[in-house]
Amino acid sequence: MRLALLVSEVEKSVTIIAVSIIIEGLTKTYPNGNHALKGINLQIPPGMFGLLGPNGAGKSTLIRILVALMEPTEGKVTMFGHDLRTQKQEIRKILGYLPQDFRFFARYKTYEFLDYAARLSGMNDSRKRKSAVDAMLEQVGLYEARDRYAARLSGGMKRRLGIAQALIHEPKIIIVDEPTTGLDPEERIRFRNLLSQVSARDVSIILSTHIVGDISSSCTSMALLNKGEISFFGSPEEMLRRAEGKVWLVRVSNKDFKELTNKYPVISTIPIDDGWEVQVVAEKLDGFRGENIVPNLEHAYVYFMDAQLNQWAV
Amino acid sequence: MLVLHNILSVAKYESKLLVRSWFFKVFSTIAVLVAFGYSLGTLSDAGSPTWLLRAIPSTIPYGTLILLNAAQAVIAIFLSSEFIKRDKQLDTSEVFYVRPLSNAEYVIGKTWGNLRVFLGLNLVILLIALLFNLTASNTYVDWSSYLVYFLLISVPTLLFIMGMSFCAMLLLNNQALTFVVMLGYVGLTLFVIGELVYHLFDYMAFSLPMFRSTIVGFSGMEEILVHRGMYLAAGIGFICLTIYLFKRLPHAPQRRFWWLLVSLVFLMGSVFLGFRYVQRYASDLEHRQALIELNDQYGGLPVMSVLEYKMDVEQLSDGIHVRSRMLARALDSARVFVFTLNPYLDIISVNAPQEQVQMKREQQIVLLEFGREIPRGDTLMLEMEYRGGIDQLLCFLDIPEKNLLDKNRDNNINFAKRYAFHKPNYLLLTPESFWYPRPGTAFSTRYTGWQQSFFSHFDVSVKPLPGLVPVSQGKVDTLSDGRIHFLPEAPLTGLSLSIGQYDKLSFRIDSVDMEYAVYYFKGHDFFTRGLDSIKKEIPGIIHERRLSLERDLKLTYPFRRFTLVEVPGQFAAYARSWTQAQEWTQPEMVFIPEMAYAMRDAEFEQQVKMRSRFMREQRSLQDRQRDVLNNFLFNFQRINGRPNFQRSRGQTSIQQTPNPWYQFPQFYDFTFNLYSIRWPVANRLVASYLQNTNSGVNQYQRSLSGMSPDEEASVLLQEHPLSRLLADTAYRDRVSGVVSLKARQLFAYGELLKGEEDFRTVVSNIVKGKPFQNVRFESFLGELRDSTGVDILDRMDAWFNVIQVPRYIIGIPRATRVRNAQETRFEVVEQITNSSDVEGIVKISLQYSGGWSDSETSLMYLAPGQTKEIVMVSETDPRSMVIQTLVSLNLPGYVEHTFSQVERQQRRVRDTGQFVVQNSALYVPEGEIVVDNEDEDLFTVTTPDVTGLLQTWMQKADDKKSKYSGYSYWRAPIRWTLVTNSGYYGQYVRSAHIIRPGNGSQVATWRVPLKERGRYDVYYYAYREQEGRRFGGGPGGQGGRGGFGGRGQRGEYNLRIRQGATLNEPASIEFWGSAGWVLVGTYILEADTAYVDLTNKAEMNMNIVAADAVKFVKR
Repeated sequence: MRLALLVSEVEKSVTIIAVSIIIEGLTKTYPNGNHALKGINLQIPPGMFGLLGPNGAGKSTLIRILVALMEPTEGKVTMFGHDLRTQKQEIRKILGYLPQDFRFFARYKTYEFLDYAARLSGMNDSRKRKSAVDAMLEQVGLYEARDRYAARLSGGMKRRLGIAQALIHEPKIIIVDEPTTGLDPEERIRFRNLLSQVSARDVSIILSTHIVGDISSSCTSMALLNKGEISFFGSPEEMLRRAEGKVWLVRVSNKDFKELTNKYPVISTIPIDDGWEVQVVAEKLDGFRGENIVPNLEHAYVYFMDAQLNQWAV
Repeated sequence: MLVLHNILSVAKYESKLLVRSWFFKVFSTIAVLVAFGYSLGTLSDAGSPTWLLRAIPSTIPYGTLILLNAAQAVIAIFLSSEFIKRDKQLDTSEVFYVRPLSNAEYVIGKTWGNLRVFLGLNLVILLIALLFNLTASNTYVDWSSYLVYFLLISVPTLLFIMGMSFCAMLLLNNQALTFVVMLGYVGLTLFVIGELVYHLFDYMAFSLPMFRSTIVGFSGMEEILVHRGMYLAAGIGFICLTIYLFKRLPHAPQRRFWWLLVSLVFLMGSVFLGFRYVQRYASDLEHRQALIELNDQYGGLPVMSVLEYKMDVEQLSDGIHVRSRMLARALDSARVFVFTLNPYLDIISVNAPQEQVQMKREQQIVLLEFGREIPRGDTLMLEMEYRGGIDQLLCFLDIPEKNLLDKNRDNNINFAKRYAFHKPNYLLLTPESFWYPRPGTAFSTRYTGWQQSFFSHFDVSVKPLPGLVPVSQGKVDTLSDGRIHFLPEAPLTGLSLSIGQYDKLSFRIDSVDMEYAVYYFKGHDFFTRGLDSIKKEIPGIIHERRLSLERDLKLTYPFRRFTLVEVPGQFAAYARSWTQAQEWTQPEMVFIPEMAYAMRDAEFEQQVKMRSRFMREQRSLQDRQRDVLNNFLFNFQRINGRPNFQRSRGQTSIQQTPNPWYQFPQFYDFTFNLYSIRWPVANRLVASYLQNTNSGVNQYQRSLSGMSPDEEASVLLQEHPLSRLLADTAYRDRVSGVVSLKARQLFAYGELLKGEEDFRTVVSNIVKGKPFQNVRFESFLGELRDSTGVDILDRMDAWFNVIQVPRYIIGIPRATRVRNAQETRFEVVEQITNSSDVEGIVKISLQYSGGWSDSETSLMYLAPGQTKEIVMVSETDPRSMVIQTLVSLNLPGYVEHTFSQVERQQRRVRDTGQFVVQNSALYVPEGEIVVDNEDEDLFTVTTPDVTGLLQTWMQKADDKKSKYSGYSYWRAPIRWTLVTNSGYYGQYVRSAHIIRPGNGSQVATWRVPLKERGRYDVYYYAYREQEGRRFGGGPGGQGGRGGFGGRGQRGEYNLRIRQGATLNEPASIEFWGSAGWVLVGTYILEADTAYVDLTNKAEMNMNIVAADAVKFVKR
């Protein structure tokens, strides 16, 4: 019932916007019986799309299927009209991909790595390729490090090199998997900005992440994936809207603190003079007094995760 | 275009990775250094130039690439499996996997990326070789060979091993496991299966014969192409299979299966080529077997000997066209006679003027059926016309397959074996190819007559193809129609014909009407350089060497020409049991392999240079050139080839093969023909006796090999009669030594009665009186009996068919300086007992101190059970005595005793001569108990624990064919090893178990059963081989008599005597050299078994501890 509602919600939203990727009934079951994806349906619009979900939700499986590194068990994916099952080559032509882990390099220099990626993307004019590579290195701030072995770059630089290789052939779809994990705040902001700049072009970016901040700062639409299923699909604003009235600030004594935290999903706890100031999500408070606060995306994320956990209709 | 772009892009960056890997950097550096060293060593004057490489420069890229190939095959496995591992491990690889290139483009790009780096390395190595090639003297650059060998060796090998490694990696999914499996495969092909099934598994072409002659190019090019094509196809198949197996989603799933299909096509193609390759050899061997069976079928038919051949030979681009007239004599009365002609020569017609004749042909067999019975001894004329090529499978049917398939390798160059050539630019036909009808059949397993050859007169006219020069035996004339006419003055056992682009260099010695000539291929006149300073002397030097050979052999060179003829490098021949002549040597002619590559002395210019560099003594240029020429000429005088020292698993062994250019056959085999159906080895028997080849034993070689050729022969004759050894091809390598020994044994009876020199002279004179005649051996023996009274014919059957092996107890010779009023003389007395039940003869040589030639030799006949004493008296002091036991159970068969101490006595000198001794004192006396290491029930040794791979491997070095091992004095075995030496104790076999000195953990134990209690003197038989000593076994003791000898080197043994629970204190004995029996101590022992332990502990600087014999003497 809940799933049917969700699908109809999705369908409702996609009818009003252009769609670059259509995912229909996508299922992935690993040989060990683990159902990583359970009949996912998604219609991803152009722009920056956030795929949010906790670790193990199936994000990476979905991404690897989308970038044609893995075959789904069932279902269909269409990208810009190309069927992923039969037209991989066409899809690979319009695809840029930055994998989750992007640390270990073969013994290539930064410039070579990018040049190799450009060559394999069909850029056979050497002069154009050279200028494109140089420009991209400039853009990601790696020009100075062009002759350095890629393996010797810092974590942030490696990630920038990663996005550079994903962008070098100006793909229509860019898929980035957990791009900011492990980056320091400065690099993270820099990376988000870079993605935002790219998204200004006419491309679709799928940003898979478990960091809510990555989505809130840049995505125009998003989906929430949990346990192989879509918990939410829509805009971040819509997600916030749905969480409105569901986030509470409760002040409790030390005596009641335990009962409260056991009863409701907790977002934050702050000690105060005579007890605790606790943020929780709940349809309504039962037995406690609290005040509704304006939710942020993190609150909304917890709300949706918890809603699914408790089988609420959201 | 995009496909190519993608492939090249992947290849470019894969190459970068490979070049940047440390493993490759190290390997390529080593490879370059080794190639540099190899080229420097083999091509540059700074090294030790290898004549083969410079003589035939196609071998430079060949040898270089073969050297590199084995190493790169291993490295390529590691590096090519690396890319799949890397792709799996590196998360960054995925960003390339999502690019729009196909799996095929990716895998092919990776393969090409790896391959081109290796090919580049090959080119660098070849460039190094080329640079040395360009700068080397006395050679030129064979440009095309650089490309051809690169394509034949490097490309298929690399593609195959890379493709196979890729697949293995994808299937095993583990680089370490892949590496182990692939390395195992490489090892297997290199050391175990590489030479099996005609080199089928030799993917590196390590043993595949690929020598390229400057005259005839490759031999067996089809086989080479099929073989290399097989691996190329397999390599491509494996790469296609890699595309199929590659773990990346293909653009479209169905395309993957196309690659599986393509892979299967290539792999099946490879299997097909492999099958074809094997089939070719297998059908050859089948065909060969069929030819032998035909010989078996017809070998018993009557034979005609051909007295005269008159042949008109026309060379064709693919063979010959011959019209032959033959004057044949029936050796038996019959209507049907059998001849043999090469099966590829089609007979056009056969006629017999004044006779009705019908011909039946079955492969090589030609049956001539006449209209009437031709009485024995009748002669008739035959005419035969035939044309075609040569089936070389008919050649050497008597040689076992194994020997035919044995590698023909020089340095690391493998030569195909060819016995005849018929190419448009070159033709070589020897009698072995049956290019003219020869009486009887070739090799038969049922009949022996095939070994028999007869003398025939030849008269041959040859019309060669334009620009070519024919070479054959006899006086040469050019006929009016341009044909070349050859007319040998004497009848020959066979005629050979070689036609090529020959130039000739010759000179005559008019005084003896003799021509010496060299026929060499145009441009191969390398030998003229380097002897320019003695140009005028050359005829004199060569003629003098001939005279010297005549003096040595006591035979006269019977021909008016001596011609060296250059033949392609692939020409091969084999030693035979019934003759010393190999096909290399023909009457008045010797074939020299292309540029004389196999004769290291042939590069005169270089040899002269080397002499000026290495010889301490300052010799003039002329002297050096004379030396070099003489060295080269010695190639024709040496019985055996240069000893081939081989090291395997740390042990050195010596292989000696007959010298194919030894000229004795010119003097004997092509001149004299003693034939016998009953004893087919008759001619060689007499030849071997007249050669008198055994004048001593090289003890150094003997100690390395374990046994001398005579001893090996003797051991074989203990188990098989001569007839059996001759019939069984398993013994063909050792038949030469067996015949030589048996010849000496047979004729020793004559020498005994007539004296060695006199008897030999009579034999020689009888033979020499019948040059160029076919003489029945029985007639020869009859004449010998008439001349000497010695009836050898009576002994022949037993000598040939029965095992008759005596055994002797050899005493210690005593030398005494006898002085009396009249004179001072040296008296040597020696006793020998024949303790067997067959008669025997031993040869005793006494060497005096006047030098090697100052010696006296006697033969001693010993009836079964007889003991004789020989007394020899001289004015000069004796130095040593050598006793040769010929065919006997004794080992060593050559016992040498050096007289280092001479007793002085004042008395009358004894009469010289041989005397029968009634009571031999040579048996062990009553009251003495001797236990030798040969007593298997009473002697044991410990076996060391073998730990570690190296030791296990070294241990295998002890796996041997015969009971007695060879050893190096400088590198004694690590476990007790049984060896013989005349310095050791032994009644018949003077042997000891030897071991390298160590910590005393290895023990040899003698069990000595004592019948009664008492005080016993315990002796140990001590002998220490002298360091640096090479010849002579030193003084030896014999069964049970006291020790003596020179001081030699000091030695030490640690022994312990024990009995029951009684453990006596260890005793250490010190001795000097050949001490003989040394007292260990006196012990009170019970009537029980006593034990003597000898450990391998030695404080002194000894190389060998020898467990030999102990003696207990009751007081």
